[in-house]
Amino acid sequence: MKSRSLSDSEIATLTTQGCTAEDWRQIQVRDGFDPRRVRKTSFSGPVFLGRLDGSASLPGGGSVPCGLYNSRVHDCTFADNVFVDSVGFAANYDFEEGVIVRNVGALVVEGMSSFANGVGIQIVNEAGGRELPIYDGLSAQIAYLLVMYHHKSRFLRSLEALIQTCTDSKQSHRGRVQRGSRIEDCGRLRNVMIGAAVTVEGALELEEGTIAGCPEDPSYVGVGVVARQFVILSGARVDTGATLERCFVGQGVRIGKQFSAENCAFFANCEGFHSEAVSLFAGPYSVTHHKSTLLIACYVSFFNAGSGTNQSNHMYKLGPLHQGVLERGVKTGSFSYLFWPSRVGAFTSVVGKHYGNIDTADLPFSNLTESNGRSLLTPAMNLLNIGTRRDAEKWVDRDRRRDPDKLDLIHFDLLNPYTVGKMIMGVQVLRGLAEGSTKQQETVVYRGVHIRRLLLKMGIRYYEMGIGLYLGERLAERLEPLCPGATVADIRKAIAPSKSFPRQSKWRDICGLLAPAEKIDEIVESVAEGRIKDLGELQLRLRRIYDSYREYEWDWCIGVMQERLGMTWEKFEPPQLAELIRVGGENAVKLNSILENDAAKEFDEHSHIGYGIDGSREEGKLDFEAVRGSLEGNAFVRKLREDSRRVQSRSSRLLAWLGGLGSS
Amino acid sequence: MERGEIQSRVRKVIAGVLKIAEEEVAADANFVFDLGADSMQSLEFVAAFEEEFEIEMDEAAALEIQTVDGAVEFIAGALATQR
Amino acid sequence: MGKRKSREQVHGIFYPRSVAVVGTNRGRGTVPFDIFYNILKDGFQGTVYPVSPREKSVAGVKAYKYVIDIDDDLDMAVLVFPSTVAHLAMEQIGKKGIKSAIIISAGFREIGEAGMKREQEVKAIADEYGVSFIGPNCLGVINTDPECSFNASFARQMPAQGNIAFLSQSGALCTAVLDYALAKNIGFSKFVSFGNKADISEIDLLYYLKDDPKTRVILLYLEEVTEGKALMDVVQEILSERGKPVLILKSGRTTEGATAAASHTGSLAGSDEVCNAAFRQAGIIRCETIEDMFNYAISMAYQPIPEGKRVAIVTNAGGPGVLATDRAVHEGLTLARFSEKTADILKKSLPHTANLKNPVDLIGDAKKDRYSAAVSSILGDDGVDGALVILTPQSMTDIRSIAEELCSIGRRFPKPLYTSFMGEADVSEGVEILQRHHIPHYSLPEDMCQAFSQACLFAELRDRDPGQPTLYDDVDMDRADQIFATVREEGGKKLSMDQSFRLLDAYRIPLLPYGLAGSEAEAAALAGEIGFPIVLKVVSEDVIHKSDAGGVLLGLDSAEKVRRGYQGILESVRSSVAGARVEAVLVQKMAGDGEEVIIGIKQDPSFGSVVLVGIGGIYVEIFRDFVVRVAPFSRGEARAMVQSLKLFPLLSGVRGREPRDIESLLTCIERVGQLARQRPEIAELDINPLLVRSQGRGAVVADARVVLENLERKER
Repeated sequence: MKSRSLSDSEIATLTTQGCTAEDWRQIQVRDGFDPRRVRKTSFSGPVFLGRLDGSASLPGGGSVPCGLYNSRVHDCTFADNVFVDSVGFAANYDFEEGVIVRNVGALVVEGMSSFANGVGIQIVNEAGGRELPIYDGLSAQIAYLLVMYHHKSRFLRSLEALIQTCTDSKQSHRGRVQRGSRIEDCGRLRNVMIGAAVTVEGALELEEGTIAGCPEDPSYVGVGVVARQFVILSGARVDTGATLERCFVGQGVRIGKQFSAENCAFFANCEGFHSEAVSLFAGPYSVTHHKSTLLIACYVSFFNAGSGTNQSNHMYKLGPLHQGVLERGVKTGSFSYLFWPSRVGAFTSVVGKHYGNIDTADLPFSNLTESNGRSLLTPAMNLLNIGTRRDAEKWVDRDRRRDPDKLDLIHFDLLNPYTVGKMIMGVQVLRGLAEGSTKQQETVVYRGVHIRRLLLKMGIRYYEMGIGLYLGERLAERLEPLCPGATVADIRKAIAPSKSFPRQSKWRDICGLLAPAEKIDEIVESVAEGRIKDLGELQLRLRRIYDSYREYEWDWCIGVMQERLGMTWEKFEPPQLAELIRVGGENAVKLNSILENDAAKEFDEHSHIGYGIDGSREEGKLDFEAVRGSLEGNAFVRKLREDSRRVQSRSSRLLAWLGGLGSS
Repeated sequence: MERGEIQSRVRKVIAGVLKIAEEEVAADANFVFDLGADSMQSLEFVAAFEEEFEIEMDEAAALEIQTVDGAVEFIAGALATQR
Repeated sequence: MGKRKSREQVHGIFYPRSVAVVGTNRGRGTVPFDIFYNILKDGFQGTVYPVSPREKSVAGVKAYKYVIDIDDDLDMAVLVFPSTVAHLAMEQIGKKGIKSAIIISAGFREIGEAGMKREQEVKAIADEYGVSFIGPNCLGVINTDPECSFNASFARQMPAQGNIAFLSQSGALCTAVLDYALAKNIGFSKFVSFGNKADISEIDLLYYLKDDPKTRVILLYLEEVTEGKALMDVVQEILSERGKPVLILKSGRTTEGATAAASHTGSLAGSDEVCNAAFRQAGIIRCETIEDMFNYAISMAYQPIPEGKRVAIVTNAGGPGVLATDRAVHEGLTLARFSEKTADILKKSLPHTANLKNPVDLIGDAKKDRYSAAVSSILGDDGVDGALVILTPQSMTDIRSIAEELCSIGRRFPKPLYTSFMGEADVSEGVEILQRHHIPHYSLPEDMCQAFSQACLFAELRDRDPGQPTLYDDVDMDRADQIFATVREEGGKKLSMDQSFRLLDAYRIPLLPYGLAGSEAEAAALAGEIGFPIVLKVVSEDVIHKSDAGGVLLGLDSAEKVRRGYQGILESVRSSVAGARVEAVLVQKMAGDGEEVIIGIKQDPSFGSVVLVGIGGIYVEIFRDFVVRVAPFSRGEARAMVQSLKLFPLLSGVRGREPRDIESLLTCIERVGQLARQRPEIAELDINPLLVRSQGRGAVVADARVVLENLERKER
């Protein structure tokens, strides 16, 4: 790009237009520079000005000629056709083509900054000890490993070093406002890196941060926002008086309405309005909408907070060092309270106040209620809740992210080797409790919760229903394409597990990514040993695990089938397979019909959760989504019926075919 | 098993779960409307009947039972087929 | 739906003196308990009785096992038993002689067939005993009138008393709205979540609220409009008799999917367009969001409705003043010009650096005195219809006293005063003062302008005269009946081209002279009678795009050409559409010059007969310049329809073109409206094109198609 100094006549023009410069010789311009487009602007330090021959459009209609007006500028470069007006002071910034900066108090970089890359936030544990370094490429999975794998110190050190390398490269004396961005009507921006297609309007104060964006998925920071030490990624929207301090706001996240957060990380599609959050690790699709809700010192994902949800992480002994884990899909009812340290199992609804420490990780899909001051768990009940099923389906449709590079890896299946694995554990736990109890006992106690003895068997039954349903469905999917012409040999080929079988056992939920423990451990080892040399490669390896889900899932299913049938998969005969399919189909239909019934509705009624507000906002318009209208209920019920019909018809076809095959 | 015996055992079970006197459980009582059972307890009834009579009850059908009489009918039927 | 409820029946829902909560229990945090407890704790002026099969008492109040055990007379039952036993409860409620009920329980029609049966059963029992009820599947009813002070809902808190009524189909939305309103100090008169509306519907509630002295503005949230016509009627009555604004937020979901377009009208007039038009005709203000709805409501509920659109903006910061001005202008408001007297006062009381013209900039260091002087003088100016006051917090701004002063000024003038104190924490104290005194406040000046403009819109809707629809008595009903009878016998779904034309003729809608020819000779003969030039069009069910198939020939000016044309059409059509059955060839007078307009009919399941008018011709669905109205409508309304089309300038004469015969066009539109109302068997109808000739030469139908519904459905 050719640049040159200002000519005398250009300087004269600028001067008559009210411009001043500490030293005109420090100003370089592009050929084609038009001095008439620079008025009442004061310059100091080296400045570069590009062409200014186009126009920019402003809100409310009308277009304005590109140029610099009424501003004070120090050591900045301006690419072609920027529009800069009424900027109190801009220093040490590079402005890309077409950028609009209007009515901003101050936009400066002071000293050396990493723009919040590398800032460690005290997450999950308010008193520290689980520090998470945030940076502009942080994914939910990497964050999870950083925060939750503190027991693997070599791994942690290696990973932190990789991150350090990355964040070191982000250090700079200079800031940048990338193409397609606009900053308007703001107060003070200090040490803020602004990516592409970012809109910042009406923000009060932003300090030490990065706002990333891309044309496919612009990001937005709106009126009254105050943020310090923050990273905001593409597609995110932080608006209306939100206050962020040491926070990571991931892709597609919506925050606003005076939401206040400190030391928190929010991953894909989270929403935070009106509430307060401290040391919160919010995995994908976590949602909180109410004024009186506090979320503190916990890890959550696919979470919905009822109004007035609260927790304590204090024991008044050693300070606020306790933490909670709410596994994926947990919902809390209005004014529910939990006492950390506690751990609540996946897809469990929590209602009422719980003053003891509890651990229900091995009893997923349960209802946790309060009765006479005691925590009462009804296992497996949420499998029968129509809301659970509906929620799982809605998340897929609500992925707002449009960035071609989606950082967070998310698996959505409600039933998967993780949750079903937990159910299998749950069956064992409940059986143990049942066997160990006497008929005189009304309740049994398990890890801080009471369970009604009579409902133990019910829990086992419903878990078994879910397990059978899941295995049957996976098997039926595999076999359906072969029906009706294939042979037993074809079947064997179709159900054969992958080469990595049989190392799998337990699965883990790595903040949205569901994977066999072995695969995760492999990656952890690789990082620890230094075999993974940069974050890109780490992300790639995680993505490979993500993409191989169906393969690993089948391996796991085969493993479980082996256990239940008591023989290796090579020995499976059509009758055994038929049995699995039959049971699976029956369970699916049975479950659907229970869902259709009253049972689910009643639990909703008693727990208020059905009347809570869940759901997302569109474009900052409606604060709340109106659900549970009569139409939606009917539509969903019809879906269930169709599902049952489909399953039944498929079952009959498969059973007829398998029946005809006999044994090999 | 005689109807009479089934009925008295059913009433005993219900009284046990609800913690009320057996006399308060009328033969035609509706669990929710007359006895004030909540949904949890309705489930407990099913489990308790299964335990008491050593039978297996189909979940969906069991949840349809709403009265003492209904329970007696269902159990009588189940006993007949499962014995 | 059912019969309309009487005033007494709905009144019983809001003003009971004794209430039984049927199915309550002791579980704190559960719906059955909370409903009972809310009635108790929120100051109910009557007596409340818990009915619980198990408990001896609930919240310290003696409980009854069955509602019939209660000796005293009871006005109302709030049913919180699970849906499975609701019928048992209703039976007892009926036997007890209770006439009003609220069924909170869910598990009815909204869960599907099984639930629907339960709902019907409960309704049948209620009907038998004459019980009127709200619900089922609802959040409840709240009446803030201190005479009653009734919170029969499981909302956490009773809202403040106000003069806004809120009705909603969705319970979940209600709790959120209550939360929102609490934060903004907005009070309600009546608050109802009516759920499945198996008995009392929103229409019944609207009729009641029309005459409720405690209610000044009515807000309604609907997911679907089931009784569109009734809704229009009641709102029109509310507007004309009481002048109360009705604001509706209708969620975007529509009950129909995309119509498989049997006609242009069918595919253009989507249910949302129809709904918008119907609302506008009825004088309903449709809102896009909850926020908008309340932004408008607070101004209409507590401030005088503006008499005109001349606003004065007063601000202590230039920027927001400009934003407000831009938005005001965008909304169609005008900036008032001050009288000399006002200008003088401003000059005297404001510093010389202040901007004395509209928007008045008091400068950043403005305190109470400047605000007071400016706003008072402005509101006293005859050229000003309303004041929009902006405040941004500077270090010296005395927010409290300015807020108090504005409240005081607001009381002194019979003109609307709206405010926008920008910022959050700093101005909260002042905002609270404004809200408590019911001075409308908006965090953004743009919202303030939008609200003002909606208030002006309301004034227009309220004051306009809808006019009376014309009833044309020269219609040949017998002929029309005969046409339908024939089609009914044949079991057809559409009228043939001939039948369509004859139907329009029966309604005295002018047609181009035509005839149907079965042979060359016939064609030529008809051509002779009708007069050249002639148009030939193939009549065949199998040919959808006539022109494309070579089935249309224009401008034939001799018998010979007509003969050849006839043969040509047959050949062309048969070769482009294999196996096409040709019924006849239409011989029609060539239209000549004229503007092509489409007039269509569509029967909307909720609103009834809908008439569409727009740019016609083959590009109908490309230009999409159309408007719809629900029939019946007056000639004035038809005129407004035509004037709102982009086509209008062409009709009224532009660039040296002659004006067209708009009056004839209007008459055709009116007649089509009448046809739509009198013949609901018509599911869809297209007159496309109607050729509107130059002034004095009328309008004629060139082509039409009519699609029928299930012919068994009789007239309304």
